Amino acid sequence: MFKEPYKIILRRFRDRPLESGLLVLAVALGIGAFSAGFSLLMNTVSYSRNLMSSPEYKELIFSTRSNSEEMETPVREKLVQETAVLKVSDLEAAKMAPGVQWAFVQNRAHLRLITRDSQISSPPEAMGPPAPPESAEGGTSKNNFFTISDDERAAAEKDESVVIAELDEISGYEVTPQFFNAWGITAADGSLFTDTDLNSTANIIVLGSKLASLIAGEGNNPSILLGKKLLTREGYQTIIGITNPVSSSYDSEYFAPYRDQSGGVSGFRRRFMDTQLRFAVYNPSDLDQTAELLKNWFAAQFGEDQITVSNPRAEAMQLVKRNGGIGILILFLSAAGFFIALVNVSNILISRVLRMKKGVGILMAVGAAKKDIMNLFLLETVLIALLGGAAGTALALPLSNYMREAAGITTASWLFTAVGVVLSGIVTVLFGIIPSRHYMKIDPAEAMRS
Amino acid sequence: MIKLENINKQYDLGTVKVNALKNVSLEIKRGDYAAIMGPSGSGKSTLMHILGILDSASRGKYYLEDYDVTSLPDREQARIRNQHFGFIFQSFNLFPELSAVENVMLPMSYAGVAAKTRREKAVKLLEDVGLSHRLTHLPTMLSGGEQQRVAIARALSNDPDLILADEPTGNLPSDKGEEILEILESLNRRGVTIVMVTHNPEQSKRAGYVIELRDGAVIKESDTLEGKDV
Ligand SMILES: Nc1ncnc2c1ncn2[C@@H]1O[C@H](COP(=O)(O)OP(=O)(O)O)[C@@H](O)[C@H]1O
Ligand SMILES: [Mg+2]
Repeated sequence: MFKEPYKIILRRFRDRPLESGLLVLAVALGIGAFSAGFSLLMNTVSYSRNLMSSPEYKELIFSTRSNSEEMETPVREKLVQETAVLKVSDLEAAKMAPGVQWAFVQNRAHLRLITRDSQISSPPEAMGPPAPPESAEGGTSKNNFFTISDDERAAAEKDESVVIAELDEISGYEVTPQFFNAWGITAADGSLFTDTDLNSTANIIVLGSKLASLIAGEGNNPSILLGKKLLTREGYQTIIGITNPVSSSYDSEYFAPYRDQSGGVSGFRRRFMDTQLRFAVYNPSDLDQTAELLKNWFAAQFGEDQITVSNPRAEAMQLVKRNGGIGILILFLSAAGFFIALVNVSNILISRVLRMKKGVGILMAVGAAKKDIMNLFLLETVLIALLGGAAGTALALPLSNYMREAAGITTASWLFTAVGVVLSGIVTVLFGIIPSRHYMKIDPAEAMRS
Repeated sequence: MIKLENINKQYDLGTVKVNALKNVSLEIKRGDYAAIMGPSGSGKSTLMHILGILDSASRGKYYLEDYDVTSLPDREQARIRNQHFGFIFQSFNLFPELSAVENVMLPMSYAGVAAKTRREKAVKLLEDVGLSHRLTHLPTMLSGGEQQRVAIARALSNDPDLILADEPTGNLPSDKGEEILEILESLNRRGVTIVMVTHNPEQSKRAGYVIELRDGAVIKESDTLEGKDV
């Protein structure tokens, strides 16, 4: 049971529902607003920091003009432009810029698989990207697609060295080896490909860890796939390695060596896509300088304005800055609201002190020391802060959720909301100490007179 | 038991200074039954507050069993009020949020008495003042006489040596006041020292001696006709 002095406080709180309710509501709104604002800013900052530390934002991307631009270009110029095809050998531009750590090609790619029940006799338009209407070589599908007869498939199904997956399509990248270095991807089983593999024509692929498990099937160790040939519409692909998990989408993707020459893996498609060369720097602050050096090199090779550079970091920075600015503004507004709420709470508490004056005198007469009185009313403040904090948290969670979503932050920590609630709870109690200091100043003899 | 030497109490109201007590010296012995009389504003309540260590003198010495209490820290003064003194006021001063029994338990909670013991003792004390049927009543549901009897039970809860009663019957009809007085006198017979402020000459005659105040000064300290133990 509570001691009698606490009962006085609790019952006073209970017997004035309107005033107590207003106190709690004011604290709840204040704490709710502040902790939501706080968590938004902290989440924004930490999200941006994580985002910016991604290898992606250490890269400069060089590409020929995009297709859409190309279509608007007069035919005569287009001819010129077609000479500007970026090749693996152009990665040597990296030698011109000491800031470059890794240089590589990373092109999106897909592989359409032949499963036990896919229609192999029908043309492949049915799935995946459409086939080229007329390829440059004017070749038939035979040039571009690997086809097998039903009999051959039946034989393949029996062949121990062939893997027939139950997926229609897998996606991944055609990359050059330094891609793996830039992203810190290593082989868990088998090996990754190297520069030598770029010069051969063997169809080899490396599987992401999740993709490997998926293809191997439940309960099977993915390493059984090593050295086996995956049956795809683009031919047999020998699985040479499986990556360690990197907890990103790369875990569910495959990697094939990028080769300039057509005729390799889905070679036809590259002519319709820009080949992008990526240069990752050691230090993001070198990006601008490095971009200049590389641009000069490419301008010397291909002429001015043939190659465009994009700097994902610079673009992302703008977004980060905007979100940060909004976050700071919201935190400022919510802190202002919180402060105003606290001033009001403090005022109501002081008026409570004045009404409780005589009670303080009586408590001291029956044996309370000034410190006891202080602690007693501090308890009242803590009670209000706790109730307000709980209600404020209930407000802050959906609010900060909503604001976060609006700001496009996908990874968020509840911890920031919790820290915001605790912080503002402490500030509330500190504000509550101001009125309880008034209690300390009450002269019991004077209080008894009223 | 208590010795006051040249106690002065001055209130500074900015332009004017009010001398509520002027060179008050007096001694209260263990077992005394003292009455303080004097017109309104003569400093009776001020003197009671100083005696009860609720207020401190501007000048002068206060000895409790030869200890100078004015120099004690706040916590120690609170302990003395709690353990050795019992206060009774004209306006009862019960907590409206607490029931009769809880009001009596209150001083014991500052003495660190366990809840069960507090309750048992409070019930016993309320029985002694004839309120066994009013234990869980809130003060607002009690008559003035009943409230003052709860206040007496509260003042007695830590077995005080001294009861300080500031016009305890002032707000009561005379028959109820008489009941209160009889309780106080029976306590005095059991050895509790009583200092009581009163306006009523009939009441003061029943005390051991009377201290008369006027304008903050003691003008007369006299044995009463009945002349009890002085
Ligand atoms: N807090 C105070 N501030 C100023 N003057 C006070 C204060 N308390 C008491 N007084 C003055 O001190 C004098 C004595 O008051 P008090 O002891 O209450 O008298 P009594 O109890 O005999 O009626 C009065 O003149 C009163 O106005
Ligand atoms: Mg008075």
